[in-house]
Amino acid sequence: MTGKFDEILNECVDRINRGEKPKDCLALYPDYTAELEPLLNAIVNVRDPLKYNPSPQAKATAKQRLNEALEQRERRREARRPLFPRLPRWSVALVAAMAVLLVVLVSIFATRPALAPDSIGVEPIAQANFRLLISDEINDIEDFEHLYVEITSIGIQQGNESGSWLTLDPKPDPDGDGIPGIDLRRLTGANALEIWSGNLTAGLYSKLFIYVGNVTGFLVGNETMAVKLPSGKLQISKPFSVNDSVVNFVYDITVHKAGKSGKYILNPQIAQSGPDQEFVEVKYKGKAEKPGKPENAAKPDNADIEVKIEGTIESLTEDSVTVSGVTVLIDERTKIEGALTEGAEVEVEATAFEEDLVASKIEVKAEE
Amino acid sequence: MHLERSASKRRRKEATLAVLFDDCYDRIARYAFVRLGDRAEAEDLAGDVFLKALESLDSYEERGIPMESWLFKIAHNLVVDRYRKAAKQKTVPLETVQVRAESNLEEQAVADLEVVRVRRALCRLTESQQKVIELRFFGELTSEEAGRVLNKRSGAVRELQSAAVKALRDLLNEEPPLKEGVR
Repeated sequence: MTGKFDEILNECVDRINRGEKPKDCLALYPDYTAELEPLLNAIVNVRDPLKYNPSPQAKATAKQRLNEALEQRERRREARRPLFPRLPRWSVALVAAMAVLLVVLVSIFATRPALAPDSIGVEPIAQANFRLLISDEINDIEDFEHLYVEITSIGIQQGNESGSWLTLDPKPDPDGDGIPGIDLRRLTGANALEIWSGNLTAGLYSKLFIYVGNVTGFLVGNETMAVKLPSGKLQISKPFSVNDSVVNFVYDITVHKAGKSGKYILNPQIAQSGPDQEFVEVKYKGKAEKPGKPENAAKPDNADIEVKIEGTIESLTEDSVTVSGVTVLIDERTKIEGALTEGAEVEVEATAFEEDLVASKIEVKAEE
Repeated sequence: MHLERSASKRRRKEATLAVLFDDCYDRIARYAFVRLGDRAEAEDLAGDVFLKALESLDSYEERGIPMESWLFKIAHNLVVDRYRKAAKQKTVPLETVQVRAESNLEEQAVADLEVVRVRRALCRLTESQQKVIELRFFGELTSEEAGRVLNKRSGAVRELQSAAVKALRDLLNEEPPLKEGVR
């Protein structure tokens, strides 16, 4: 009985934490009103006087300190990284294979015809008549190794310039890397990434705003660079109509170096934006995850070099296995089939990421 | 080669920490304020929690407790440190605590006295009861998450919470508010 009451009280605390009133909870448990009511009142009487909203300035300062510390860690890591790391044999072979593959792919794409006009901007997608994609005109993006732009909201004006505004929430993590922001470096040229899709009321639309949060750039050479965005939003006045067919509106964002100041500014590239732009849709391997849970996010797209190793386990630790002279890391996503023991014959599927190989699957081969 | 050398894992943990900042900062500051009784100090401590977490990130094991609960563990340790230091250096009378900046001076004074009354009641709970109230009411953790911080099962947290709320009810009844309808 006490246990049941403890659970009810616990649920009420959760509900009050979510913003519900004690009376909402009492309505759910009328049989417990006499016992529950004074306790819920005590909870509110304790919580309310002490609950306050911390100052936004203090929060902003704390966030800046954290961001600086994160950047400092990144710089220290880069400084420690040798200019010419000793590469294992497998990586030399891998690089050679990649180079051959690249030549083949380039030759295939070079001989392909341009996108057919009827495939542009009207790709049918089930249950959506409007898609907003982000792209990046080249300009000064090549100064950056990464340029993360966090899109917080989208505004679309219906009708003419006196029309009402719709606010759309962008996908939480469109590139699925678990890191806030879209890396514009991946979206250069015709590459475009979907940030919203859904149904809009058929009709004319006159303006499209993109509201931007943090913009963080990592210059080639790993210097961190703050990129300015005047007014915190990007605005395009380019009227477009939505009807039965799907509209693929490409919103091109570009970065410019501001004179000799060494600073960079983000602007919309109007000429490269609109519903009639050619684009190549970029889709990443990982699915987008809810912000706040990036530990489950998919691997970044530079982690897609797959390697297969067969051989005998030479050594084994909790976090790694060495097979035929190659050490492969084990993490929580590694699928292990069979018991790993030194001397066992295994087949390892792994992904090369920066200097490490991370096992996606390790299968112990059955003894013959 | 060790797992912690994996750049991908390190970056993932850093990204998780950065994302959790927005979600947890306010709650950690409120949690710290209950013990410290000083807004500025509580906010300063909330910022320190994330820097401390970043310093210790290599030792944080994702397969152990969730990072959010881990942050509250760090917050708890920092609060205890500061509380001890403050106790050695100076004694701040509870009555000096300022919480709100109400426009009406009389209302503000009454609100401040209410804070003193509530904090006095909290101080009379057992240490475990105080911890569970702080984590559940101000840190807004679930009983499971609070259990991970306190190294207790969620059932034990629920029991402790019930006992704490009943004790609070009695303590607050012993000393009624200065003015009804305050808040």
